[in-house]
Amino acid sequence: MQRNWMFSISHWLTFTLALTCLAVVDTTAPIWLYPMLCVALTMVMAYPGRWNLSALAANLLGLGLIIAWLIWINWEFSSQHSGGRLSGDEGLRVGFIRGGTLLALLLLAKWLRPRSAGDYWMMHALALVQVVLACATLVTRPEDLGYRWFPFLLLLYLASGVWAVIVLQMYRESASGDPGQTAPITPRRFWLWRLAVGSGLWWCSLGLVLALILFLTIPRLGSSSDTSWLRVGTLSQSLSGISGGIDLTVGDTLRLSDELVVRMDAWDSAGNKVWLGEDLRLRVLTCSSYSLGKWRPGAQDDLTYVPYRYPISTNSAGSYRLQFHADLTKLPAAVGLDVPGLEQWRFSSAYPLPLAEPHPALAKPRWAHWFHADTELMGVGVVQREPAVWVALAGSARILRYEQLYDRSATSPEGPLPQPRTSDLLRLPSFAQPWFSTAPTRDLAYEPLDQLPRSLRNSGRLEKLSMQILQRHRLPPRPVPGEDADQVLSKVKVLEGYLANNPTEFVYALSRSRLRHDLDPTEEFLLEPVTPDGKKAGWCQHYASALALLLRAQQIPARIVIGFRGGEWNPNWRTHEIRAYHAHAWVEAFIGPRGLDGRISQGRWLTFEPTPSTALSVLPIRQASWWRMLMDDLRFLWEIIMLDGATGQGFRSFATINNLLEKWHLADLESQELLLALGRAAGALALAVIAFIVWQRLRARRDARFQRSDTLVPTTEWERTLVQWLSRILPARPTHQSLLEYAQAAQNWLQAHGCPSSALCNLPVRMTEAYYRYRFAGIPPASSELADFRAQLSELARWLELVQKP
Amino acid sequence: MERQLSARSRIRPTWEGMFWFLLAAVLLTQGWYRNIGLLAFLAFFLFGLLVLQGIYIVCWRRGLRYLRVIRRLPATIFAGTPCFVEVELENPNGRQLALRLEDRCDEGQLRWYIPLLRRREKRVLRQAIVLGKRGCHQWKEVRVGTGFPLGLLRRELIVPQKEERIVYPALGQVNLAHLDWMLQVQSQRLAGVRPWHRPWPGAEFEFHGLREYRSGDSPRYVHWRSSARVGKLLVREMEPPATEQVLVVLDAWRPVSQEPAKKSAQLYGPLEAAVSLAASLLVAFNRDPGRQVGLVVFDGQLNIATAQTGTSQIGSLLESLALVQGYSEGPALRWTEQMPSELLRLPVIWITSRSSSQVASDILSTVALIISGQDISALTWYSPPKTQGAASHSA
Repeated sequence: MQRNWMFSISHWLTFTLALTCLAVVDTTAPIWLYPMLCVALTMVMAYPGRWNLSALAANLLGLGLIIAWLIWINWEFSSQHSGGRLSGDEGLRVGFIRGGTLLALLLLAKWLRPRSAGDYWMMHALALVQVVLACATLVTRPEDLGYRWFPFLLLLYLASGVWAVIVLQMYRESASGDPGQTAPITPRRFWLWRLAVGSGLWWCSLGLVLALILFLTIPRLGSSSDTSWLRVGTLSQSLSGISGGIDLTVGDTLRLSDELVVRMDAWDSAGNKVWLGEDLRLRVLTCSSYSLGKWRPGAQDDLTYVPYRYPISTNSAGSYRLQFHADLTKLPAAVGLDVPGLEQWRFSSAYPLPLAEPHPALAKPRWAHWFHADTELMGVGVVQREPAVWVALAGSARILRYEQLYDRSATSPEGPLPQPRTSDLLRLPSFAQPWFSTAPTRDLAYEPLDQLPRSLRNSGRLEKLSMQILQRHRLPPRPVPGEDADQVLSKVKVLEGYLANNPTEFVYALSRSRLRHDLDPTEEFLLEPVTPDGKKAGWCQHYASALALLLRAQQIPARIVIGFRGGEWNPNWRTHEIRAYHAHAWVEAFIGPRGLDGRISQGRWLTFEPTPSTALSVLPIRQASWWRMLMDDLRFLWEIIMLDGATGQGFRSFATINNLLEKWHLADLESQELLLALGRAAGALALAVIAFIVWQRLRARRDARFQRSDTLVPTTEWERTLVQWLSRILPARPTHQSLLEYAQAAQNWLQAHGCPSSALCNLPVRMTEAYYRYRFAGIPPASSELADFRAQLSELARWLELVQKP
Repeated sequence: MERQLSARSRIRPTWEGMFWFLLAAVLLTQGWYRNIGLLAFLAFFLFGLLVLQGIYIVCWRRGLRYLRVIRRLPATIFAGTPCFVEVELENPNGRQLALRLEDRCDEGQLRWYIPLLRRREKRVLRQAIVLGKRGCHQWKEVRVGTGFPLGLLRRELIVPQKEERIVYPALGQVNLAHLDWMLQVQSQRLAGVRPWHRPWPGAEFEFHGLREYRSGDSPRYVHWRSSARVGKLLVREMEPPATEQVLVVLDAWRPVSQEPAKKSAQLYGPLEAAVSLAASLLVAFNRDPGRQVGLVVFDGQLNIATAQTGTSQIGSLLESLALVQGYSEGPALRWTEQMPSELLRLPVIWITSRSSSQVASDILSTVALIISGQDISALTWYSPPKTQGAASHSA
């Protein structure tokens, strides 16, 4: 087996990428292990001649590596078990991935002394098994930090692996041939590199496409046994993305990325995917208590629901189905509630997360259904009236999939509350059980929702401002006991309008600076102009905070809602995509008649939007780039379909074809339209086939012409013409005379007979030399030279016609 | 386009392909049954590549069946001497091919690998082969195959191009001058007359011409008169006196042995050495045109052929030598009775695979030069071919 650079580099790249795949998912290995192995692989690749071990030495080395590995893993297990760092399952997994390390060592030992193509095949098998171990480990532990790079590593490994196998096949075939013929198989030939690399990429791409088709269309059995070592979940102690609420005091600029947060599919009763409109609101948290510019999440009792505002035609009967894919790591407000007395982090993620709520026009959901057995979702329950999904244990909480079905025919909003069923409580952790009790689980001393915090109450600035605003609109500046709901609502509308429709005083801005640190941030926003033209500036959090506090100053219960407003329609998947820059905050106020004690105890929570409408209209100012959307699609594919195989039921059947039809908008078509579309597709295909045939014919004709011209080059025509003309002045060319000698004789004759110019005299010689250059050296004459020859030939012909043939 | 007539093709998996399939099946079982998406995807990727390889190989038939393969063999092939086999390959179809080409004969096969045969490309492949055995060799079919791109499956087109060539015996090196001198001496011994005179005392060769002095030439051969006339040293070139007619007799006897293990090495060794010597003599004589060479082969029966050296007639003599099988039983050669009388007058080189004690007395009295099987390696004017030991009978 002859090794050269292309051979070595392709194999080195494949083996190194396999090792890197293993290194990415192995977070328990010593830091020096994988870099050292990569360096060793590189050294073997770079200096292949120095490692020509004898068979005995190679076998001893392999044996020594195995013994060293056994000693090492024994030591590691004993030390980690004694330190209590490895539980049973974790230990099993660590041992599993250490097996991958052993394979890497054996691969290295084999690469020191490969003897045949079979040895390289064995090394590729070892590398593939390493990747398989890495994949299996990754599936069990998707929260590993490196998993984001894993798909790229995997793709690179597959591409380089195909390249290496193609090169290996070429070398195997060439090595069995004539040794003299192996010389052309050298990496110095660029076309060979291009052939090998191009073939590798081409076949890898085809293989990926075919694998994807097979993967998406062939249903899998879907065994998800918890006893399997592959399905053991882990309890990660680290989860990022914590936010206790809105903090107005931190940061002067609101930065919103374009990361995809929620992907939502909505079907109508006919099963068609529908676009719910741009005014889609998705609520992730309600903040009720305010202290020094910081809103804290509301109590469980505050979990009433603000509906989506999506247009639903009143005549559309039947059910609606909503399906969510929310990336919990991108929903900062959804996790990280600091609940005293309970274990932090663990329970926080189990907080009920009301994501989807019904439209008021709809009745309560008839039932809520979650249709997969994902380990992240521990159950579905009913909190108050609505279905809510909580995420137990954030260990592997990554993607939240959640489906709701609304039935418009069920019109009784006050029906009996559905009780959680046992089947709904699959694997519900013990610490999540209290959430099914109706008793409040927290006894935090929140501020009442209809009173200002004590710090703001003492200064009286917000009360004074609210009174001034109401007086301007001739409304009672103070709460009037016994006033009805309309009067309360009119006050709320006025205060909302003061913020939302007051461009002379307020301007929407995503950055502002604090000037008065002695004031509360919301007071500063309401009272201190910050722009050069004397306007007050802020973003949605400022506006919502201001309205909520102004309402509380009037003893109207109010709270902040954090969520998302708006969304994008992804035409590729026909889904709603809600990105980080759709994040928004608004206000809910409890509207109802005021009692004689001045408190509003009965009523409804209504939504109010204090942010200026001009700002709202430009809120979705950015559209995600096609690249971003493509990456999101790929991430979606990777996380939902690849990693969470257990949850990919929707993709696990032949319904994928239907999804593709939907994607191509064929499912919406009537039968005739469908036939028409199919006819168009067939026509386009036929045209393509015809074009391909025509192209093939044209190419064949061009090649045939090229072949003809290769044997009868233009210079041959000149030769014939030249000989024809020269035979008029000279005897016929004898067979023993070369063409050059004949041309020289013609030159002598022309000079002797007074040829008018020296260029014409030596034309035969020049043409013959050009012919020789083309014929024997392969150098074609330049086009200018050809034109010159043609002109001079015709001139010579005219002159010869004048001169009598001797 | 013209198809390669009566060519047949076949598809067979390689052991790498079977191993690949096995690995993919294991992965698919795990990924599919346990519903581990990544493993299932990897397995589908492996299967996908296998399927694509199969599709490529199956569709490759179209490009394969129009392939034109022509083999060209050299006109004369000597055993133990490299000869070049040419295979002309033309791809008149419109698709590129990566090919491995195998040409098989009785004693081995030639292989070529062409990483890329572009469309409408014609390529002539040439490779040297050394055939160790004399006799009739058969070139079998030409196999053109590919395992591109991954080598998991192979498709082979078997192009029937059977050809037969007679491989002449291996040649040694003959010092013809020395042999001629010995023939002259022996002829003189037999006839008692000197057929030619020495041009000067001590000279054994005839004058051939003059050439310029080269370092190492003996000063005795400087032709001073011509050197003085020309102004530079000229030396005489001599050539041995040529014997105009010579008869080579090969007694192709081989012993009988009951031990099959000794068959090739001991039984056929002397015979092959004798045949090789006879062929070497014929070829050496053929380099000197104008002679009449006769060949008598006693291979159980008497075969007599003559040829004029320097012509292609010598080929028929070599063919008869190439097809010698040897005899161990049957009537003995009665030399003076069976041979035509005119041949008996010629100087005869008697080559036999027998030992010298087995040579009949009438031969000793009439033959100029007798070379027995055991003496061949000790001849001073002949170096046997290096592959002589390995060469064996294959007629």
